[in-house]
Parts: sequence; C-alpha cells; structure tokens
Amino acid sequence: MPVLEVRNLHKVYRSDGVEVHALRGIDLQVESGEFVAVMGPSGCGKSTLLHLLAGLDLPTEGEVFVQGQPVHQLSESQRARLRRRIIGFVFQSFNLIPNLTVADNVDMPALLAGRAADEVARERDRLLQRLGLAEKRDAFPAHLSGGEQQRVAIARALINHPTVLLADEPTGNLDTRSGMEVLNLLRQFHQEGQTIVLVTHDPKVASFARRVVFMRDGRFVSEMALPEPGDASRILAELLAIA
Amino acid sequence: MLRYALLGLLAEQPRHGYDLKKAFEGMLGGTWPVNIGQIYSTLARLERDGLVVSQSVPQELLPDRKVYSLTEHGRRVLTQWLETPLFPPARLKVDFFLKLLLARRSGMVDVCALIWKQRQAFLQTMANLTSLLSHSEKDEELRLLAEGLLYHLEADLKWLDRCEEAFCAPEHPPSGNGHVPGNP
Repeated sequence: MPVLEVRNLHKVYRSDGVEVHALRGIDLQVESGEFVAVMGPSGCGKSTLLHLLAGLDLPTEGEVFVQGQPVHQLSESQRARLRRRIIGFVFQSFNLIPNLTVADNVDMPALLAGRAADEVARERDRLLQRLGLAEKRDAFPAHLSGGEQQRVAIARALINHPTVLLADEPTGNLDTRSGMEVLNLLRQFHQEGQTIVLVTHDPKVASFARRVVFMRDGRFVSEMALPEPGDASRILAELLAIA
Repeated sequence: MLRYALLGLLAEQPRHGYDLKKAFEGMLGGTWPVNIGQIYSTLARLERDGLVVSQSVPQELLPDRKVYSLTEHGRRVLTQWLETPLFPPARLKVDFFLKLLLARRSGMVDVCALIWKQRQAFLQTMANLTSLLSHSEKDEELRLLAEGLLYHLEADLKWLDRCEEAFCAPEHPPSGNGHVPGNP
C-alpha cells in the first residue's frame, strides 16, 4: 500500500465571484522510502497540492490517503492529530516560534503528541547533533542564520518519525551554500529510509529527488525517474564532455 | 590543449614523460586518459619549437631518462595562452537549437517532446552534479568544476522553459516521453 495516495484531486478557490482552478485532477502514489519532487513554475498549484497532502486544506473534489487514512474525510482535530503523528512539514519561511528556544521548538510537536519529556529531550539532542546544531540548543530563532533555522525546522518535522516528510520550497529563502546543505541533509535522511515529497520551481532542488513529477497549470504533465548517480569519475568524465 | 597542459605542468616543476602523464591524468580525476605515445610526440614537437628542453638523467640499471623543463619562450607562450579569455564565453547549445529548428521545419518530431526530453537529460546531469558536490566536501577544485557546470545547466534549463513558452501551447501534453501518472 502506498504511504500517500491522491485520486482525482481538484481544488477550486473562489474569491470575489471569480473561480480559480488550482488543481485540475491530480493522481499520485508515493511508496514508502521514495523521494519525490513536484516541480513547476509558480502558480502551477504545487503548494496547494502539498497543503492538501498535509491536511492543511481540503480538496474541492477527490481523495487524499495518508497511510490508508482518508484525510479528506477527517475532522479538523483529526487532521491536526494526523499532522502531529505521521506528517512532518518544512516551510519555505521556516515558521519557527520566535519566543521559544531551538530545543523547545523541536520538542513542541513531540510533547503535543503526548510523548515523555526525557525521551523527547534525548531524541531532540541526537537530531540537533546530527544537524550540526548541538551548540544552538538554547538559542532563539532570531539569533540563527537562515540555514540554521531551516535545519531546526527539519529537526522539528522529524522528531515524531513522520511517515512522510513534506517540504515546500525548503531552500527558497536560503543562499546557495546553505540551501545545498539543507538538501544534502534531506538526501541523507532519505537514504536512511525517510519518505519525502517536496515541491519546488527550482530544477537544482528537484535534482536531489529520485522521482520528479512535472506540474503545469494544475495538472501533472510528465514524470521521470532520476537513477542514483554512479561513481564520481564516471560522472566527471561525462561532465567534462559537456563542458 | 594537451600541449598547454604539458607546458603548465612543466612550469610547476621539471618532469619526465611518465610523470607528466600521471600528473595530467591526476589533475582531471582520471577522466581524460592519454597514452604515453601522445605525451612523447607532443613533447617532441614542443622541444622542436623551442618551448621545452630535455636533459638526460642517468638511472641505475636502466636507460637514461629524459627530464623536460620549460624554456623562457615556453613560459611566454604559456602565459599568453593563460591570459587569453575564451570566446564565445560559453558554448551556445547550437546542436540542440539546430534540432529544434529542424523539428519545426520538417514536422517530423514533436518540438515539445524534444524540449521535455532535453529537460530530463539536463535534470539527470544536474542530479549527477549535485551528488558529486555532496561527495566532494574536501576537494575544492572538483567542487568548483561541478558548481560551474551547475550554473551552466541552470541557465540551459531556463532557456528550455523559454523555448517551451514560445513553441508549446500552455497545456500541451508532452508526447512520447515518460508516463503521466494516472492519465490514460
């Protein structure tokens, strides 16, 4: 069973009597352990799609299943519980809580899920260590660089071992170098089995995924698999030929 | 190209033929193998033109080995080559553009499918590059090569987006490549 499945998803926004078709019939299946990028220009509906996957919004038509659970039929509070337990979300603008320390930001979703504080603290310290943030544990978000803030957001998204990690332009507010760091971390977590779906307009970001789905105007128009790149010297030989 | 590479390696220090082969291949991560014959014939031409000189160094139990070094003239030629910028600065994607033009004129293949296929090829190359970057933390020269190529690819992909805008209807379904999930 796919961990994430979407059937004939439509989303229509109405404002001032004008209808905007953000999604026009999306079908998608994501298997456990996949790293999928949904790529398309701004306005193609990719962020809307991600919000529907996370249960942050409801579809006008169609179905969303996360680990077999029909997200489109759940109540607000059931969806909130789903987001805490089985979905991790990373936003473009980090969305950390400014008056909480790094540690408290990361702990929050785990404590809300009712986990024991000491176990959460151990796990959080391990994650922060892993993400190169051990020394920032007691710092406040405002004192961190963008790259650091996004790494805290990743720790927060992963603390409850989500079935799927969703990321919306996770490097959109970062410089090239810290963007690459964040993507490298996502790639490492994927290699350890984490299922990831990210949306982006940036082909460089999409190239970290193993499957890329191209989106235009509310629809999927094409998709491709990106095989794991081979050894460095073969890659280099290829590159020098195109240089 | 090889001739300037040899001049550059000799500017670093005098070397014999096999040493040059190893240094050249090592510099490029083993991606451009040269045979030793090529090295010696290039060295012979450089010596004939007065860009390098050789000196025989006796070896125990083995025949003398020729060690080459750069002449003043060789140093000037190398400097001039190094200082001359390349023009045009980046190779235009002439081959692909030609395909695009001929596809439109002949009507033999779908222009949009052509663009999609090229985009996928670029994206795969991009994935190879970013993978290389994440595995070459400590090799600054290699990182810079990969990053440089990455910038080129980003520009190429943007240009493909423009080609798509210009030649394909907004909802044109790309035909003949990949499968579209969930659609018949």
